Amino acid sequence: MESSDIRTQLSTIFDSVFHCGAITITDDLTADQVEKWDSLTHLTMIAAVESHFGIRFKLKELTGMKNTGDLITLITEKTQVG
Amino acid sequence: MKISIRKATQEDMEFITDGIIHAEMSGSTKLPYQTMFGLNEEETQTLIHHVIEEEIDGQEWYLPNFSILEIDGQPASCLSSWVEGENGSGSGLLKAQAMGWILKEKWTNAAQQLECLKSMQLARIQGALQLECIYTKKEHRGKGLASKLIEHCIQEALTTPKKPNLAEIQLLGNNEAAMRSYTKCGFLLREQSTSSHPEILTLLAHHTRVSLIRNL
Repeated sequence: MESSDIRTQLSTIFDSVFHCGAITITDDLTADQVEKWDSLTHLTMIAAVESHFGIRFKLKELTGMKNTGDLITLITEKTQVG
Repeated sequence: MKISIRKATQEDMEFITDGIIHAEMSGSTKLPYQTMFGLNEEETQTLIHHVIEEEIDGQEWYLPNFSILEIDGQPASCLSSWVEGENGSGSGLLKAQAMGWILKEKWTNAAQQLECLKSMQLARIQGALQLECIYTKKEHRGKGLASKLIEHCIQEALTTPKKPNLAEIQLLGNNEAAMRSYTKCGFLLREQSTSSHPEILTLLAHHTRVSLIRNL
């Protein structure tokens, strides 16, 4: 799956979880920049991403994620493997 | 009485787990993991072990972040310290990720309770040395051991390349004895957050969360 496709789909997921509107998904986007992105909604977003892309993250992968770019990289890797 | 301070090892897991549970109860009989997720004490111990075993740096439940004060070779106090956001992620997010990942449905089912907790949440100061899970065995309280441990961890942090210029302790507002002790160590009130959520006192021992700071 192309990174641009993932970004478009993530934008929809982010909007459904964080109610942030159609935001531009950049690699350096972090929780600090989205008002409703906190420890609780983060896990809801992760569950939504897993369900949408049909993938599962390991805990080490989640805790190693520093920004949305890391999330896109992981989705790319996992959807290629799957 | 010989006092010594050292970093925690795998052999301290039981003592640390006990310390975390007592610190979380904040002098009450309410264990937040019981009120939030329906875990009994044994399940709470298992959860704490599991998170520690995942070795997630940057948050309180990480073995290398713990220091142990011993009296005559026996653990008497413990404390976890780390620099907030040092590795790019906030400690709250890291710990929540671990707990959510381990607890799965129990975490999801507690959405309402977690939302309630957010009503009194205080953001930790980025780059500040965080001191958490401060616990002293009952028989050793009143001897200033926690203060010694705090001072030790602060001095240790000041020798690191990224030496922090602020230390922060967060605790529940009912723990007045602890607050007096931290004030004696030079900590001052930075901020407090009181929840008016009707359910908060069914989950926690108090409805106010306090942040204390000390310039380093």
